[in-house]
Amino acid sequence: MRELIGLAYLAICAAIAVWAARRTRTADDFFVAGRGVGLVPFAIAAMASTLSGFAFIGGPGLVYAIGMTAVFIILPAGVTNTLGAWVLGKRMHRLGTARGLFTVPDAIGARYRSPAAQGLSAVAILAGVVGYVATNALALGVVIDALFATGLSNGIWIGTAVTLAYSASGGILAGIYTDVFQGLVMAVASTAVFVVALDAGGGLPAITRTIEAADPALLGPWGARGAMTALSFFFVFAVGSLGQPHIAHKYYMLHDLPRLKWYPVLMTVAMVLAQLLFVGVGVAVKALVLRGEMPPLVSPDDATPQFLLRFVPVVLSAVVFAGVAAAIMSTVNSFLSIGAAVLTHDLPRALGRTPVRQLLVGRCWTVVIAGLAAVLAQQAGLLVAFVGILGYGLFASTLVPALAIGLNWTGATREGALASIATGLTLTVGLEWLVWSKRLTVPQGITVTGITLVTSLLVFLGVSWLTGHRAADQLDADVRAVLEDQV
Amino acid sequence: MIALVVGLLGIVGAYVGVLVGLTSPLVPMAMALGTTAVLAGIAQLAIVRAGRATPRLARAVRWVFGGMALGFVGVLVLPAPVAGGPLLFGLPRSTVILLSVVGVLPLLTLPIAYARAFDTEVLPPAEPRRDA
Repeated sequence: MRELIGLAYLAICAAIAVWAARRTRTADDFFVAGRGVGLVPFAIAAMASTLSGFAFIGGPGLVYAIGMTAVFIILPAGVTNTLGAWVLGKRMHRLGTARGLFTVPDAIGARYRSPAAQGLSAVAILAGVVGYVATNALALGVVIDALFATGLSNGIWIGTAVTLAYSASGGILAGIYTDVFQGLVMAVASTAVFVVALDAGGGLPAITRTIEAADPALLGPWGARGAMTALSFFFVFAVGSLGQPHIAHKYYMLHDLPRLKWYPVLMTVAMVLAQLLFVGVGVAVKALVLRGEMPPLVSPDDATPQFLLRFVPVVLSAVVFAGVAAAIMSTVNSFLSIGAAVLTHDLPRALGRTPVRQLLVGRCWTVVIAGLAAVLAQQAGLLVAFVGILGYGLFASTLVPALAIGLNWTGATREGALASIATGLTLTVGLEWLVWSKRLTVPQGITVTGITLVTSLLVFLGVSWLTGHRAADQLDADVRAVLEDQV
Repeated sequence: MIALVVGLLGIVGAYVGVLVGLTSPLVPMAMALGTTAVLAGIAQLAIVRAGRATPRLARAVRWVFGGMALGFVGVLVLPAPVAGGPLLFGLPRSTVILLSVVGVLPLLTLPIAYARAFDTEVLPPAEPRRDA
């Protein structure tokens, strides 16, 4: 039954991809879905590409291990869903249509009239994209192996090939409409498993009593890791969300601005439903293990798979496996699209060349990035572990200052943007490398991304103030009009 | 902008406190208030039109981030929950207070405030509804 539902899921994705591929005729279609996406697909696609397999596997495992501390990773969603539209939505959309932009580095280049800033942010995005796609390809391989017993290596190649098929043919247009289907699968699966999890645990009060008898801190307000770690997570995932390029560039795709009005409401509802499993399975499995109704987990990441195998009806567990695959594939598609756009469009522009035949070149780069990521993913546990942790922090520390602050502050300067992007890039890669190679230990309560994000923000503000006399000259009239709502 | 800078310095202070091994409750307090100030500062930057904050959205920022700061501080000064203590909605009371003020309050308030202010403050009638 699981295999059948898995195949049905892949067949529906393929059908949507064929439909979308026939409508992909220009680079605009390929990279920004022809700027014609409506509210509902826009919101659900944003949710689907925001949540990777971590929401279904790693997240519940983290709740199992450290309790409420892990909830601070998803708690900022109450703020970030609206803050994204508030801070980026209108300005990105206006800039996109005024200048024909279709990448995040495009917006940075236009904001500061700087090919160097566009190129540097493109390099940061590319580094993060390869890491994200590689770790998600590995996760997809694990899911496909679990469903079809293909072996991990074959699972990685099959998963990459399926995602690549619609990403290379239909680009982000195919991605958006497969995301809608995949987002609905994720929301349904998450909600249903949340209900089953609470029921299996005997209800939330019973779960809480079991857990607090063993460790009262776990379900206390800050969880097992304490207030500083919880607050660090909150800071990184609240502020860092404003620099995630796969979400920011979706604002170019919206058909028209009035549709932005209800986007935060719809996105919030979708996110809440899709994240119920994150908390529900984590706490229920903890209680079940403590009561001896489940054997102790070998690894916290086993929380969801073990719960599905033992407590969830086979049809629902198959839908959840499809939901995990959906979460991974939708994220991979988004990253393939922005990675291909960087190579097709941003880097040539930064080097002073005019991008040519962007649709064809974009498709070729999509294949190259996916292939490279699949090869990296085959090195499970080695290099992929390092590149995987780079992504979020790189995006946050390089893009939040120059993009999120820069689009809302006319006093920001090109020098500030360049300095902050360079700081974020070097500091993130350097510190993550030192931590990963065990040459540096970060004390509990601090995250590397927290350090790099604060530093790059302060560098951006400091250098912009020092060079503030140049700010007015660096703003083109149409960009200033967008920033000052004078359009 | 002042809130943003003060907030960032608060976070730097908290991180330095952890690095030098301070165990004072002021360390997480600085982190909590710093984070709230940074978020409020960014939100405030985005709602300034012609040098003045748009009133409805500014009110939402004050309510949400003011509530968030109070929630963080309140829970930081409350004693840690103990086994067998009172529950609210199936969870320890201090956990529910934090989840409500930091998670549910913005979740319910911000999207609605944004939608209600959209036609007057985000995209007022003077601005084109569609770009050329």
